[in-house]
Amino acid sequence: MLNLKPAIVRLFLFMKQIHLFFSNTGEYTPVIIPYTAKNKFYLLPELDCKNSMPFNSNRFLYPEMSVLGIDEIKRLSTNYSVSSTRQRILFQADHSFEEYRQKFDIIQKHLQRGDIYEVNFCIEFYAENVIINPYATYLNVLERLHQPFSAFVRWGDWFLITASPERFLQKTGNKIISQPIKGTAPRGKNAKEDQWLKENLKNSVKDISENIMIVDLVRNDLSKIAKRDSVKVSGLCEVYTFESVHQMISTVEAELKDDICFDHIIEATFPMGSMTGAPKFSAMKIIDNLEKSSRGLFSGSVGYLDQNGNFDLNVVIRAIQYNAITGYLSVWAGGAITVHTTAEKEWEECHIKANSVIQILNGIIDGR
Amino acid sequence: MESLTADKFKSILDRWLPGYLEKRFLLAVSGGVDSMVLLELMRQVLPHDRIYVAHVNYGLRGKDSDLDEKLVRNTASQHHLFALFKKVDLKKMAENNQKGIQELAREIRYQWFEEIRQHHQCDFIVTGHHFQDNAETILLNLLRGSGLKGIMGMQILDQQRRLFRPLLQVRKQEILAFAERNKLEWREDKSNQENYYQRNFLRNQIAPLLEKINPKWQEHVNQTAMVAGEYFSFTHEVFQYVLTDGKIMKKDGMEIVDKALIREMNHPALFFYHWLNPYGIRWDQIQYLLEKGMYSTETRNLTLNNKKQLVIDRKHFILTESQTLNEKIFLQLDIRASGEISKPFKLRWEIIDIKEFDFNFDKDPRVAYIDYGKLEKSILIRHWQPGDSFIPLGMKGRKKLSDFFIDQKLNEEEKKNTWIFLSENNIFWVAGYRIDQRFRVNPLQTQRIIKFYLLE
Repeated sequence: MLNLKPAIVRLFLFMKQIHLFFSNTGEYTPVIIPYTAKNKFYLLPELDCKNSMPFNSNRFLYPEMSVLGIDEIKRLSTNYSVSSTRQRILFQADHSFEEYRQKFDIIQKHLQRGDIYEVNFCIEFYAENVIINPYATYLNVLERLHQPFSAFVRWGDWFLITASPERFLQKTGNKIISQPIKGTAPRGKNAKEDQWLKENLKNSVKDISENIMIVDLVRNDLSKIAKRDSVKVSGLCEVYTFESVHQMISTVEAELKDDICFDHIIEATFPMGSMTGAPKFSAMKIIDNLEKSSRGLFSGSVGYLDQNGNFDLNVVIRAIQYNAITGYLSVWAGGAITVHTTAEKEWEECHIKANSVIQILNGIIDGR
Repeated sequence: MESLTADKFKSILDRWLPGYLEKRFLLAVSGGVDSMVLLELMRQVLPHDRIYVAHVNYGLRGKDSDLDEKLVRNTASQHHLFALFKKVDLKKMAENNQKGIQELAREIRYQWFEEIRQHHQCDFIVTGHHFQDNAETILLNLLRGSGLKGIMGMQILDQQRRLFRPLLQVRKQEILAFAERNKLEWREDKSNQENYYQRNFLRNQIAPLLEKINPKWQEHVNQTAMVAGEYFSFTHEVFQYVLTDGKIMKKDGMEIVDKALIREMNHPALFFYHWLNPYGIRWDQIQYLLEKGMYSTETRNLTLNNKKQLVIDRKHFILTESQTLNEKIFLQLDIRASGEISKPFKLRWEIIDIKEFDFNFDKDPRVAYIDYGKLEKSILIRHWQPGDSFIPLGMKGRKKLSDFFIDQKLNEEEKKNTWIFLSENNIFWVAGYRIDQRFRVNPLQTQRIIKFYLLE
């Protein structure tokens, strides 16, 4: 077990009040970056609590790379006040389909006017008065979804559990890589079907165009902090196969300029294009106007920073946000909306993505 | 000597708080042996997510204070307990304050604990006070001139203040023995060994002498406290009965007592004490009520804590909620001409033509200069409401008033008492702090200036 030193919190504001919390002592320092386009936290309670230091780093992050180790989490799971429950949880979507379609049409107008090429519009599925054991849920998530960028965060009464498959940024020495994911297909029931689905994804015009748009955006972001001519796309639209899905992943690499620190990198690249859209700030404005509540940590990032300034950060998706006092449980999901898609298809995609997490909680979405 | 164990601790919890496993506790941990033992015991009997740890660093002892904090941090971390820390520059705060440094520290501490207790919906604030502490408290209360309640000392369970002191009947030696058996780490408060504070003087100088008179003085003082407690609850019960006997009239949430009835009483002081004790009346205030209040012909006002006030008019004593009065106040002020008001606070305003103005701005924050032309002729004055925002002078963007107050380091009470001036729903002055950028005096445009003074 790595011994983390107490965290020092810095509040970092830019553009639309994106709050970046990180600490700067210890061997590995956890990093949490919430996406707060709506200028307020809704699940993270007032983090400042006046003059107190809200983050105590050991409890701050349990990424799968194991700051604490899985045994520790198991122990904490049994020492939690709620033993795991098997209650059926009923989730509501924050939009009705009609509302969703109206917003989809507004987005289509923006797309046709050329304000944006693509936007990642998300909806929230929530349940109230739920009692779960977040540690047990996390263990469950690890076992069932087995994703490389899973993470667990606790702040007081508030928990984040993410089974993220996606890397946001990794820095090793002066090399930085980003691996945006766009384009997902389910696994087949047999080898033949599986192969067919994979081929289908490989050749899907919609997925390829979405992916390339994001790659362009990432290249643009990285070029702000990279040495001249060092931004390279080392893998374009490659399809990888995971336990439950096939995914189209691209890899963009760059060599950092000298004197670039963590703050600069985050400022240039956050929030990630795959969760906002292109061009990024127009897309964020639209998200800000159309989404109903604040995303909280969803589509933010969790990761760690080491003493040499190397770091690895994920994209918080497939995530559960839970307030243990109010019993509010929230799962966000969304999809990239371009001119090539329909409201029905995107609505369905949101449900499929949310469901992958909700089924682990033994939950169902109302009306389905 | 009975020894302190997790099982014994469980039985204490069971006795005072049946169902304690369902509750949340905010532990006040200083890093001293009492609170570290408390933390260890709580940790052994409760799930980790039910325990919240809070520590205040007053910075009074420099590096030592930081080491205390570090110990609490590390221990909380080690057991995965959620911990909150607050740093206060107590010396600096004490300079601008009448109160003694210890009293101020206590005030800050409990105010903050209560804040986080509510925030995290904890049921109780738990402290490590023990047997010896209680004996000392009682003696000190006695020297300070306290009533029966002071002689009672501390309570294990104080429902009203949401305080729980499970170690109050536990001897210091048991606590030390537990700490050693469990190989706990703790920090000795160096200032305890100096005779700087009253309590320490009592502990280090007087207690050994008392020991000579009676080695069991602590037991006896605690015993007296128990007896006093019994009498207190008895008289309180009796008093409830007497009270319901038509002395207090209840009307619209107010409690009214006729002065004539009090004149007939044999023990008016006790009457006041039991009536107003829940609202924190002190004996010196009771004395004031009996000597001055009873015979005053003009209306007087006595502020009690718990948001209550006692209004004394010619014929009655009236207990009302001072806070709700405040919160509901919406004041419409006609500012077509210069004038002044004295209620609910003293305010004077003057309208000045720009030609007569010498541009000598008074720097006092209680004075505001506003562009008269930008104001409605009837302005609104009220207290802060959630969601209020304005553009503080010198800034470009809007700022939430709640954030502004935090920047100004106002406490809850000050926040609530601040007056906000509005014209057409726009805040133009946060009285006593800052005016709004949009309403400032602009020498090129402004024709008339309105100058507000906050008096007192």
